[in-house]
Amino acid sequence: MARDEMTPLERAAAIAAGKPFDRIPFAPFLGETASHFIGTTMAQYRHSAELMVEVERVTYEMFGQDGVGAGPGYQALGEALGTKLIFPENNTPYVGEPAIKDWKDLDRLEPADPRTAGKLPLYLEALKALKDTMGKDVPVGSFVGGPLSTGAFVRGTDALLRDMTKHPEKVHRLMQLVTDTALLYIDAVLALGCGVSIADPVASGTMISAANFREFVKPYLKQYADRVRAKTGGGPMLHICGNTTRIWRDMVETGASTLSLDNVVDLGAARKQVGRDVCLMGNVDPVAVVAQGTPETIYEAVRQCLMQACDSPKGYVLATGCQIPLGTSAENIRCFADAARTLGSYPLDKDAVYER
Amino acid sequence: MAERENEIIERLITGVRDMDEALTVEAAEDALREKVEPLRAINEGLVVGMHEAGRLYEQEEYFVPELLLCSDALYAGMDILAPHLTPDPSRTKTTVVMGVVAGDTHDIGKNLVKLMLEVSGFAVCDLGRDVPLAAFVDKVVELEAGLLCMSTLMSTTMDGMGTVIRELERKGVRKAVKVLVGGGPLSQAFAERIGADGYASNATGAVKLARRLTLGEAAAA
Repeated sequence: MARDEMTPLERAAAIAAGKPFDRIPFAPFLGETASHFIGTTMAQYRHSAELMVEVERVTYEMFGQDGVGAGPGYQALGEALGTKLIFPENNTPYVGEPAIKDWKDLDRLEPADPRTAGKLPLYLEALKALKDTMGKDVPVGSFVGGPLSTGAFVRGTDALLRDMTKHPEKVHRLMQLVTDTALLYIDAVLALGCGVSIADPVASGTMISAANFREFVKPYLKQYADRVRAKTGGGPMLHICGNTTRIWRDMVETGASTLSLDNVVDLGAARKQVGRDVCLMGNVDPVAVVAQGTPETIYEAVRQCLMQACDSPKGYVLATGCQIPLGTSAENIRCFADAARTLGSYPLDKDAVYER
Repeated sequence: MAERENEIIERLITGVRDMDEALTVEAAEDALREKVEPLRAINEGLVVGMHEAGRLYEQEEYFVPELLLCSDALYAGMDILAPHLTPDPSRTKTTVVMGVVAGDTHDIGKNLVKLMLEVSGFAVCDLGRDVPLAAFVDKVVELEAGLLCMSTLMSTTMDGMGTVIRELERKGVRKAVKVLVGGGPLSQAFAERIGADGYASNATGAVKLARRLTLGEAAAA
């Protein structure tokens, strides 16, 4: 069933080369929250490379999105460093017992080897299979946890947030440890020919001040980006959900090539402030609009995003502000995809996008 | 004498607002020594400090880490002063049952709301996080609570709040309790859809709303 004139890889190549392309790329954040489409649970997904691959195969078949992948995020990275996770049947895993209960525990820890630690090998296995089976048509990527969110899964969020004031030097040591772990994982992902995306929700302005971001997160995110850039020539995608308005400039300065933004921020403002520097992604509300909306509200939300960012100088990818919740109907995600294909078809129908 | 008292009160305010546990503890001990009324030390000292912290949070000067440290200082002061409070039998406090909905463990926001409700004079029963839906209902009935506060950061657990409200209706106690909801994926529209009495987007808003819902417009001012 040919919905598009180009494959996602062809589209990405055309965009990179400044050549004509068929439509705006789009990325509905799915992955573990699309488990219901293959009749499995999120807990089972997190324990099986096969299921991770199957979710991507099936959702790509259904929606034709511009990227597939699987990644440990910050939860499985924390687990690889020794945190015991709790895996609810149908929810994202959370910290049962943190690897660092007392700062003395930090002395025992070493960066985790992605070939053997925790469940990191499962993700690498899934990425390899995705690359082998789907890699000729669609880019394959992996979400790796950013330093602060991964640190929160090693130390416990409450404790880590307090430690930023009470034990800053310990926090820095922890940030370097998780960064060293992430870099090993990133090396393995890049060796498979896959792309790197970073997720660091605890680092947003909804949680911490911009000053704390600059002190405890930015220098480490820069290490992530430097590694990706050294091996690929380009930076990673950086997704920080929550209110990042005050740290967009800092996010650009980490060396990320693409910023993925939550629906709580103003995409148009981001385009004005950093659109000349990085590609932008975002920011349709995955809950109120994609999960709970109607075809009309989904279409309108996509139109609003295109209106604000379709001409962003360094490029724009239509995406959701964060993950689409488990149980969202195929029909609603299709509405999102269809809106990208109609409104986002190039050359853009300016009257339709700007409603003139 | 009054000057000395005011100086101690100032230090209690500053200690909490400036996240200075040591200063707060020292001032609380001085308050006891100088025979400052414990209730005055708490309400005009510690609580005012927390409200100032709340204002700094709304102004985006303070963020979650700062509020956590302010609350640590406040609780340290409370630990010293609260045992010396003489209970006032004429004052009936509204009982609040609160918790994070089953399936979710994000509780920083809930803990901040709990703290602010306690310092505002509510008697709080905190069920914690990942609370089974039936537990909310059972505790509201058991304590004859005037207020139920439910929180979640996850879209997948939101609907549980609606289930709790329907169960309160089924048990015939819905009218006796005000239901206040909050958390990242929530909205005013969602709160109305599930039949809650109110929605707040942050801790300071939650307390204002809680007072308005339970005491009426005039008292909440």
